Formats: sequence, structure tokens, C-alpha cells
Amino acid sequence: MSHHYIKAENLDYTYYGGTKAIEDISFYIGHGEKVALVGANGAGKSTLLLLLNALLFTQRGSIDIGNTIITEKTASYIRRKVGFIFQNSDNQLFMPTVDEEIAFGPRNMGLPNDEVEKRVDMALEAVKCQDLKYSVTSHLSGGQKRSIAIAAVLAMDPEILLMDEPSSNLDPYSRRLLIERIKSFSHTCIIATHDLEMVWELCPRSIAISEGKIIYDGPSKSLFYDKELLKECRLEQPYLAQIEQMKESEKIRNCN
Amino acid sequence: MHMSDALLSAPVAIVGDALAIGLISVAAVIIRKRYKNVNVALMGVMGAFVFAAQMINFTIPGTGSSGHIVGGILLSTLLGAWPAFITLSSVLIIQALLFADGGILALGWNIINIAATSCLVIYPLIMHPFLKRFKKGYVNQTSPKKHKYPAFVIITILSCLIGLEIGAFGVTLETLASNITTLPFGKFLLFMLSIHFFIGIGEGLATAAILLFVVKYKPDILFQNERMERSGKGYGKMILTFAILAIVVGGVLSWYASSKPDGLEWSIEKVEVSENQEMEDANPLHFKSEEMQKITSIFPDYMLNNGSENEEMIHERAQTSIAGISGALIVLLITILLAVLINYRKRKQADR
Amino acid sequence: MKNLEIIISEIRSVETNAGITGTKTSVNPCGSILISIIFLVSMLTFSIYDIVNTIPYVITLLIVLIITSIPFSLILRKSKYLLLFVLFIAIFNPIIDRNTAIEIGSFKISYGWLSFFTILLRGFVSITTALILVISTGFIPLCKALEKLRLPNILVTQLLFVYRYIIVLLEEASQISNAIKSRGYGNKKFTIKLYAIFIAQLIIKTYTRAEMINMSMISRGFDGEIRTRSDMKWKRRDTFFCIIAIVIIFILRIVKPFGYIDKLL
Repeated sequence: MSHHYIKAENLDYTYYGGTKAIEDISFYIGHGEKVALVGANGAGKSTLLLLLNALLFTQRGSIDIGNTIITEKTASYIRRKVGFIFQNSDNQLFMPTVDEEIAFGPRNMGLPNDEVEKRVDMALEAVKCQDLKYSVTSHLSGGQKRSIAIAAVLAMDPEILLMDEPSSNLDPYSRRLLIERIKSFSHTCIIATHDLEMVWELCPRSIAISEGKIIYDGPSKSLFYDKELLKECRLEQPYLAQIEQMKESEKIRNCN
Repeated sequence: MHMSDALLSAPVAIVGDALAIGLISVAAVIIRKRYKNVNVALMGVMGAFVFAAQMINFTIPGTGSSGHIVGGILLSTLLGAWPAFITLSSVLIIQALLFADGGILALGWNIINIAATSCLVIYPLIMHPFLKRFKKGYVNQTSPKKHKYPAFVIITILSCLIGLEIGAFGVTLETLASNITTLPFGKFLLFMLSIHFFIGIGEGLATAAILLFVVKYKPDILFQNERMERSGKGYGKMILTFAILAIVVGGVLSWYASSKPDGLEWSIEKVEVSENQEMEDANPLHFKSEEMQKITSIFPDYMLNNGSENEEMIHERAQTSIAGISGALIVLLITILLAVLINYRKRKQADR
Repeated sequence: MKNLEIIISEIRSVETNAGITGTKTSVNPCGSILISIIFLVSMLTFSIYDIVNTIPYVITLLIVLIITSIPFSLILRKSKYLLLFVLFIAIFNPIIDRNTAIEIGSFKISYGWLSFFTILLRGFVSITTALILVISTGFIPLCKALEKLRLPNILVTQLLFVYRYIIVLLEEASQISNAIKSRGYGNKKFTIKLYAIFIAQLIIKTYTRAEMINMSMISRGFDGEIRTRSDMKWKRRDTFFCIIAIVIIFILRIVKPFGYIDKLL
């Protein structure tokens, strides 16, 4: 995989109607990083993801992905490199059957039929859902839909994956499967989520957003130890973090 | 009301299907040319919405019965005439295929009666011009909004009413042209028109209320159309299509009228006499005899053959001797019995 | 709102039975569609009093039902409303058309009754043909076949979308319905105002959903046309099937087998 970094500089976005969703956001994410995007509902996480996928365009500043600045002209190229997995899988899967759904992206890219077939099979293998290949989309369970949505995006062979609340509405088993799969991906991943337990497992780095501005960008661990900062983001310290914190303070006490 | 294949004759059904396919093809071309970003997703989900909406009934004021909307005018206001036409047609097609509502061959006329009249004729002629002014007034706030609302409601009711009545009229025309049922045209027409009057008022009120709430909660839905649609050219095509439709329908009707001159003239007197008798006997509609005579004299050429025959007609019928019929019926009954038996056996085997 | 479970099972019933059928599923749906249309049209060209020659069509369908193992109960359940409607209209025939067609002693059968039964049989044949077509082919392959038969892409896409989202929309409507009922409107009459609020909510939710779907499509490179896989090939088996079907229709329409019963007896 080539080196696809994300360089965002001074991003601004205000919705039609006056809601200011993003204000002066800048960050740099290197190739292969797994970064969590945390913050309260309405803080601006989803908007930021839409900007990174060229579904919305920033009103100030620029986004540079792998040496390509996002503009209306480069949008379709960007969308191939950056895959977006929605929060609501029912809105992401619109084709009647699973194989049509996964083939949608590659076909739009103009690939020949046998290449499309190959990609469909590879994508299904990556999410371990080969037996669902000819299933009717409306009949799938929530967890299955989520997996197929991921497969549909993977089929376009993106470098970067954006995920909007991927573990929401999943039962514990499906959630576990999801986490294991994301662990196996070598793509750069940006995951907007409230599921801090998952962040603890998957993302060494976190960016916290509050009211459209970045208030923290650094190691997830430090964020989770900072109760004041968590409160500002309307988050709660994950249980694992509490235990780790207690363990570490024990160690320090024992050393002393 | 959905037509069924059973009530149509082959030529009438085929004409309807050809017309419908023609209109759909025209729609496909116009949508591609006129709409910059066709929101295929929106049309699709709105089609599903129509299904969901038709499952919910409201009580029609004054009658005590309940009904649901068809949605032609509603869809046209939200999506624009041609996308709404495609959407409503798709709903009708799926109803025919998945719910056995109407038949495959009857789809043509169903699409024309239900989708084409409201979306392609009534909406552009009545609703759309008013909406333009309504939207302008809303955006510029030139007139207090409240003043426009009663007009809005009235125009919507009018649109739904006229649309449904034309559709009902279409159904009677097609039934007439098919010459399958012996329903007297006048009575049937009155029956259809009066039923659809109340349905039309109900649908009009419901549609108006829905649109007003949509405007209240999320006005930009109504104005989204502006950004999609270019200015209202292209109605020439629609009017042309409508004209062709009218010519074809008229042609089919007159063909039937002219092909059976003797029978029809002879049947007029018969009808006038027997109508009066039936009034007392089996007429479920209880029309006064004077009114009926008026109607029969206005439409003298359109009375169906009510059993009076001439030589030509008898030749058209197949052998109808008692032996033939009973033989056929016996074979049918035996087949049904066998089929049910086999079916039952298969069910039992499958269960094991 | 009518029971959601029932409606959803109605929609699903068309699919779940597609797995049961044997030979028909492997037939190219383009062929089945054309044959079904020719079949129906040929039946409609008979005179409305010709009950004798309409019956073989019914028998043919019963045989097809057996071969494809489609449960009778399904057909009956789906056809009852339309048949009732047809009945209501057709009953006027015996009332008005009283000329005697056949006499057995003093017992007279009128033309009206002949046409009445023929209409009913036609109704049954038309509904059953459509159901067999959809059940044995499957809705989605049927749509693809329609596209092959040159139906405009925008309509076929529309059909697939509606099919995909019917159940989703029904569930959403059911949720709103429950929300309304849970606040005490369960037994009151559903006035137009309440209904309008309900439907307006549904419309707004639908628009939001459509926005998301649109974004999903754009994010995967949508350029205005949806292309589906076209892997349906016309095999020799399909030609064979079509020839047999056309021969059968020919026998039904031109040879008119039951007309000979009359002469035999």
C-alpha cells in the first residue's frame, strides 16, 4: 500500500441554516494509524468524516490525502481511496442482494466483470461472510448488515477507512467479531465512536472534539486518565482505564 | 380502484399496456434530460413510503368509513410530475406482482388511470401553477402565510378530486370498450363517480394536511424541487401524449360502437323498456326511472348488449351446447380434485 | 395500522416459496414473462361466453401449480380480495343478460351466467399466472429480466429500490404508530389531523434516509446509472421450454380441445 497520510488544515463547515459544525480543525494522521474520534453527539464527528470522504466540502482550509487535495474534481478519486462505513447500515446497503451490493463500487470504477467477481469474493472473505453472497439484503440481521457494509467498502480497495459508530446496535458477539476484524485490517482507520472500551482495544491515538473544535489530540491512554477532559467531552472513563489507572498508581506507591 | 385482467378484452388491454410503456419511456428520457441530479434513492424510498402510507387508514369525515390515500398529488408535489409518475407506476407494478392487486395485463390501464392522470395531467394543470405562486409568497413572505392556506387546501382537494374522478371515468370507459360486463354504462359511471367523489375529498383533505405539516416541520423539502427541476418547459410533450391518449381511447370506443350498429340500435329500445322493469326488481342502486331514461338517451350508442342478439354475434360464440359445457366442467372438477389431492400429499411429505 | 407481521409475511411469502420450485427456476425469466403474456392474451381473445374453452386454461395452470409445488393456500389467500371485486362486478351479468343460452327441459341457463363464470375463471387464471410468474422466478431476477426486455433502467432500478425498502418503511411506520398508540390514541378514531402528522413524520424520515442512501451511493462512485449483473444466458433448455409452452398455448387457443367434447357426446 502506498503512503496515504491525511493532512487537514483549518477546516470549517457550517450547515445550510446556520449550524456551525466544524471550526478551525487541523490534524495530521499518518499511514496505517488507527485513530479514534470521540466527543458528544452533535460535536461534529460525523461532519468531519463526511468532509474526509469528499461528501461535503470544507468552506475554509484544505484536506490533503496522500498528496491529493480534496476538490470537486478530485472527489471521485478521493472516494475510492477513502471508504466510509455509515452508522445506519440500512442506509448504506441499497441493492437487492449482497453480491450486487458489494459489486456496486467496483462496477462504478469501471472494472471488468471477472475483476469485479474477484473483489466481491475477496471482500466477503475479509469479513468472513462468504455464505451470505446471494442473500437478500433486507433479510440480514443487524450484525450481518454491518459486516456486508464493511465488505462493500473494502471491495473498492481503499487505503483509509472511516467508520461512524461501527459498534452501535450490535449484540456483544457481533461487536467482538467487528473488533477482531478491524484489528486485522492494515488500513488507516478513523473511528468515530462512543464505545471507549473498543477505543481502548483498537486505537492508540484519540482526537476529542467538542462543539466543533479539537480539544485533545494524543495517546488514548492519557485521555482516558484525564477525568476532567473526559467530562468536557461528555464521556465516561472506561472501566478498563479505571483498572489500569489504579494498577499504575499501585505500582508507583509500591516503588515508593 | 384497480382493474383486473378478467374485465378487459385483449385489444383494450394491449392498447393500455402499449400506452403505459410509451409514457414510461417518455418519462425516462425526460427525467434524464430535465433533472440535473436525479435522486434515484429518493424516488425509490418514496415508493416504499407510498406502500407504508397505504397500509394506514384514516377516518373520512362525514361518512364514518376509513380509507387510505393513493398519493399521486402528494408525490407530484414532493418529487415533480415525471419522477412521481415513475414512482407511482412502480408501486402499482409491485402491487400487481406481490399482492395480486390487479393483473399483469391490466397494469397498462391501471398505470394510466391512477398514475398518469394525477401526476401528468392534473398536477401540471392545476396544482403546479398554484404551487409556484404559493412557494414564491412563502419565500418572500409577501403575503401573510395564513391567507394562502385555505386556497392551498382547496386547490389540493380539487386536484385530488378531479384526478380520481378522471381515473374512475377511465375505468368505466375501459370496461365499456371491453364489452365484457353488461354493466350499463350510465349506472356504472354514476356509481363510480359518486364513490370516488368522497374518496377524492378524503384524499384531498389528507394530502393538504400532510403537505401543510411537511411545510411546517421541514419546509426545505418542498423547495428542494426548485433546485432539481429546471423551468416548466416540456409540458408540450405531456400535452401531446395526453392528446394521443385521447385519440386512441376515442378511436377504440368508436370502433366498438361502429362494429355493432344493428345490435346497439336495437338494444336501445330494449334497454329503455327493461331498465324500467329492472328498477323494481333487481336494481341495487335505486335510480329514479326518469333520470335513467335521461341518461340512456344521452348515451344511446353506448349501451352494452344486454342479451339481445343478432346472427353475427351468435357466430362469435363458441359451441354452447349443454353437453359441451357439462363435459368441460366435469373435466375441470376432476382436475381440481386431483390437484388438491396431490397438493395435500406433497404437503404431508414435505412436513415429514 | 394493519398488522405489520402479516404484511411482512405476505411480502416474504413470495420469496420463501421460490426455493421450493423445481424446474421452473432454471428457466430464463425473459421466456417466462413472454410466455405468460401470450398465455393470458390468448385466453382473453375468446368470447366472454366461451366458458368451455376457458376451462383448459385453468386446468393448465393447476398442472403447472402441481409441477412447481406452489401451495394452493398461498394462491387462494392472495387472490381472495381481487376475486371478490371481480365477483361484485361480474354478478351484474346474470342480472342483466337474461337471454337463454341453453335449455334443459324447463331449466334455463342464461348467457349472463355463462359470462359470469367465464369472468371468474379469467380472474383466477390472470391472478394465478402472475403469482406463478413471480413466485417461481423470484422478484429480483424478474426485474432484471424486465430490463433485458428493454424496460427503462430508471423503472427497473425503481422497482428494486422499492422492494428493498418496503419492509424498512413498514417497520418505521409501525414504530411511529406505536409511539402514537402508547400515548392513548389506540382506541380513538384516527382523525385526518393525526394521520397527517403521522405521514408527514414518515415523509421527513424518508427524506433523511434518502439523503444518506444518496451519500452512500456517491461515496461508492455512483454516476447516475445503476448497473446490475447480467448473468442470465439463454440456454437450449430455455428454447425447449418456450417451444413446448407455445405448442400448449396453440393447442389451447387454436385447436380448442374442449370444443370436441361436444361432438363426442
